[in-house]
Amino acid sequence: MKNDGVKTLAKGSDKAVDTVLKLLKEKLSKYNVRISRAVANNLIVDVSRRHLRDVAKIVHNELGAYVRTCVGCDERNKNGCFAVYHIFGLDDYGVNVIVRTLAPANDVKVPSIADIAPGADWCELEFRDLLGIDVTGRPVYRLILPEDWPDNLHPLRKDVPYGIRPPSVKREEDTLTELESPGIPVGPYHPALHEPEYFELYVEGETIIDVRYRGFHIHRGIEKLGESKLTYKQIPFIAERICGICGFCHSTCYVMAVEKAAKIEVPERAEFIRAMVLEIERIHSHLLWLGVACHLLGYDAGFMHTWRIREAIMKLAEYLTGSRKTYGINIIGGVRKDINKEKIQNVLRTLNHIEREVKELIDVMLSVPEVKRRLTGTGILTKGEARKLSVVGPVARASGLNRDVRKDYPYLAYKYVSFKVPVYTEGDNLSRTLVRVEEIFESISIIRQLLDRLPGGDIKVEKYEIEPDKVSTAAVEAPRGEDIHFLITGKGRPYRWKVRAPTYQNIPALRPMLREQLLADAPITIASIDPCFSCTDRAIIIEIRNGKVVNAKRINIVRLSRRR
Amino acid sequence: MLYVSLQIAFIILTTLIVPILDGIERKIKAKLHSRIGPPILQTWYDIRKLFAKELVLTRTAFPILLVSLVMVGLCILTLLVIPAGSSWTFFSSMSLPLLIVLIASIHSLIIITSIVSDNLYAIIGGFRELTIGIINEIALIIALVLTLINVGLGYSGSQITTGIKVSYISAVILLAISSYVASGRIPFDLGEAEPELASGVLIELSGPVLGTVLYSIILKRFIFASITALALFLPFMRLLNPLLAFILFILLIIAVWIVHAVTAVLLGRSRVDIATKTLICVYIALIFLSTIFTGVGL
Repeated sequence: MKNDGVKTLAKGSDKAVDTVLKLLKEKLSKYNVRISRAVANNLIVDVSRRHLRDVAKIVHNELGAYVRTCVGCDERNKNGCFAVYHIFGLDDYGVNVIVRTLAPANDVKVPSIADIAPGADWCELEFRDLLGIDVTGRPVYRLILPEDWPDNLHPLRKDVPYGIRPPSVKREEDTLTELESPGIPVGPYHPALHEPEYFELYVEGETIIDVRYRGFHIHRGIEKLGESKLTYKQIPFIAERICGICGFCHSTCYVMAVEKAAKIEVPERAEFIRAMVLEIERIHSHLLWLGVACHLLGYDAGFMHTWRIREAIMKLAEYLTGSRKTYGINIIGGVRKDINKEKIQNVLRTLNHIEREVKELIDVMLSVPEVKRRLTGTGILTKGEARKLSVVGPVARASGLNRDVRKDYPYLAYKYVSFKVPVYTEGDNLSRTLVRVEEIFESISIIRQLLDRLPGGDIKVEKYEIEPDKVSTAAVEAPRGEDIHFLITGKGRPYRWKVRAPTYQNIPALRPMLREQLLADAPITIASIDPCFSCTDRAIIIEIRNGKVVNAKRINIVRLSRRR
Repeated sequence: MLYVSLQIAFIILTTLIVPILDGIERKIKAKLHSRIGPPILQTWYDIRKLFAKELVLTRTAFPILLVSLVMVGLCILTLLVIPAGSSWTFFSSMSLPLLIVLIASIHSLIIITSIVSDNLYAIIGGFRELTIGIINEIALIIALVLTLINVGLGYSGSQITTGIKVSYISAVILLAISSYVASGRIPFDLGEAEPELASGVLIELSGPVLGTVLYSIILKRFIFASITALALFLPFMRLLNPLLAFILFILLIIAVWIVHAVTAVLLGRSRVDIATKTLICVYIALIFLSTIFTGVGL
C-alpha cells in the first residue's frame, strides 16, 4: 500500500519513524499492543500470541510491509520466556516494525503467520528447529537440522553448549509429497550448481510441472559461535566468511547493527570507504554472475571474457584492501584501511577501463541469438508472486518491485550520491540479467561520486561502549539483494545474532519460476536468482525406479551407488 | 592402385590426426576466449588416460562398449567411402546410398548408447539427439543428392562439372549447415548439454568405454567436415592430379574444421524446441530454393 504524503518524508528519519508510530497506534489500538522505539529506525510492537496474526495482517496486508525475517530468541534467563521477533519493513518510510511475541517456557508455541505473509515460511521453521519454538496452524517439517539430530535438542537455546555433537538418532522421516511424474534430481552435486544443494524437478516430457528444494546442507552454526565464543570485535571477521562473494556485505551489516545499538557515530570517511568497497563487491559479483549465466547458456566465450574483465575488479579490491576477497577492513566504529590520492587516481583509471570493456561485452553477449532467446520469456516471476514472497534484490526489481535498501533504508554514504534503481516489469530471466547489467554501470558511477566527495578526517572510532539488551537491525543491499542482521546486545558479545542472506528470501520464488518451464531452462532460471548456498549440508536421493524419497545418509548413498 | 593407396593413407592419417584436430580446436577456442588453453596433444593425452583406466563393465556398460566399438568401425568404414583426392569411384554407384546408410547408422548408435543406459539424463539426451537427428538427416540426405546432381556426378561418379552455379551454391550451403549440425557442436550439442544434463548421453560412461565413444565422436566430426570439404572440392577435383588433390582435400577439411570450431565459439547453446523450429524453417527454405534452382538449371 502506497501512502500519500510519504514522499515528503526522508526515509528512515525521526519524522518518518514518528509517522509510522502514530499510524501503528491508530491501526493496532484494539489489540492491546505496546509500541516503543528501539534504536535508529526500528519500532517494537509487543503483542500477545492471541493477537499476533491480527497484527501481522494489518502490518503486512494493510500497511504494505514486506517480511524482512523472523527471529527466535531464548530469553528464559531474562523473562522466563522464548521470544519471537517478526521483522517487517515499511519501504515507503524506511522504518522497521519489529513485532515481538513472548511464549512462556512451559508452553513454547506461537501461531504461524506464513499464510498471511508467505515470506515468513522458512524463518518460522528455522526457529522451530533451532530453538524448539513450536509453530501452530501450519504444516511443519525439519528445515535446517539434519534428519538424525535428536528431536529435543535445539542448538540455539542458551543451555545448549557450543560445539555439542549429539549421537545420531533414528527418527521418523518427515512426510514429503510425492508426485507421479519422474523426479529429475538436480544436485547436491551437479554441473549447473556451484555449491551443494538439491532440487527435485518433476517433469512431463521436458516440461517441469513441480519442483522441490532441500537446502541447508552445510549449516555452519555461525550464529551460535558468535553468541557463545566470539567477542563483538571478532565477529566482523567471521561474518565476512559467511559468503565467499558478498562477505563484505555481511561484515558491514553486522558492524552497522552493533554501531546502531551502541549509538556509535562512525566517521564519514569510513562510511564512504565502506560504501565504495560494497560497490566494488557488487561489480565483482554481477560480473561473476554474468559469466556463470553465459556458461549455463553454452556461451563460453561470454563466460571467459566476463571473468577476464572481473579480474581487474579483483585486483582493484586487492589494491584498496589488501585482499582480492574477504577484505577484512571492517571493524566496529570504522575501517582499518584508508585511501590516498594516488589510489583514487588508479581506481578511476581502472573503472574507466572496466566500464568500456563491460559495455563492449554486453553488446556482443546480448546479440548472440541463443542467449537472448533463451533469456527472454523464461523463468517468469510475476509482480504479485514477488510481493507475496517478499523477494529481494535484482529478483524483486526485475518483477516490477522498486526495492533497494540503499534508497529505502539509507545507510553509509549512499545519501550523498545519486543513482538509478533499475526496475523491469517482465519478471523473466532477461529482466534479471538487465537489472544486474545496469547495476554494474550504476556502481561504477557511485564509486566515482564517492571518490569525488570523499571527506577528510578519521577512519575509525577507538572508544565506545555497548550496552546490553539493545535490539537492533541493519540492512545492506548486497549484490543478491537485501542482507539483514538482527542483533540483541549482550555482555561482551551479542546475546542474539541472526543473519538473513538474500538467497534465503529468494529461493521460495523458484517454485513459481520453474513451473511450466522447459528442463533446459532450469539451470539458468535457478541461477537467475544468483543463489548462494553456502549453508547447506544434507541431501535426499530419489530412487528413480520407484520414485521413493530416501535420506542421503551415508549408508544409503553407498547402497545406491553400488546397486549396479 | 594410386586411388586405393591414397584412400588407405586417408584413413590412417585421419585416425591419427583427429585428436590433434580436436586439440587445435581447443587451442583456437582458448585463443578466442583470451586464455592459454591445453596443449594441442591434450585430446590424445585424455584418450590415453581413459584407456589406461580400469574397464568397469556394469550391466549397462558392456552393451555400450560393444556399440561404441561398432561406432568406431562404422566411422572408419565411412571414411573409406569419402573419396580422398579422387573422383567418386571407389565404391562407384553405391557410394552415396552407402554414405547415407553409414551416417544414419552412426547417429542411431549414439542414440542407442544413451537409451541402453537407464540414466534419466542420458535418456533425455538421447531423445534430444533423436529429435534433432531426424530433421537434420533428412536435410543432409537431400543436400548430398542436390550437391552431387549439381556437380554432374549423379550416382555414378563418372562426370564432374566444373562450372559453379547458383543451385550448386545453395545446395552446398544446405550441406554445410546440416553437416555442422550433425557434428554436434554448439548450439546443437543438446544431447550432451552439460549444465542441465550433466553430459547427457555420456553421463554413465567412464574409462575405456568413454574413451572409445569420445574418439568415435571426434571421428564423426571429421566425417562431417570431410563431407562439406568434399562438396566444395568436387568441381575442382578433376582438374588436379590425385596426389595434389589429396593434399588440398586434407587441407580443406582442416579449414572446414577450423570454421566449425570458430562458429561454435561465437554461438550459445540452443534449446530443443527452438533448435527444431529454426532448423525446419532454414531447411525448408534452402531445400525449396536449391530444388527450384536445380530444376531451372540456374
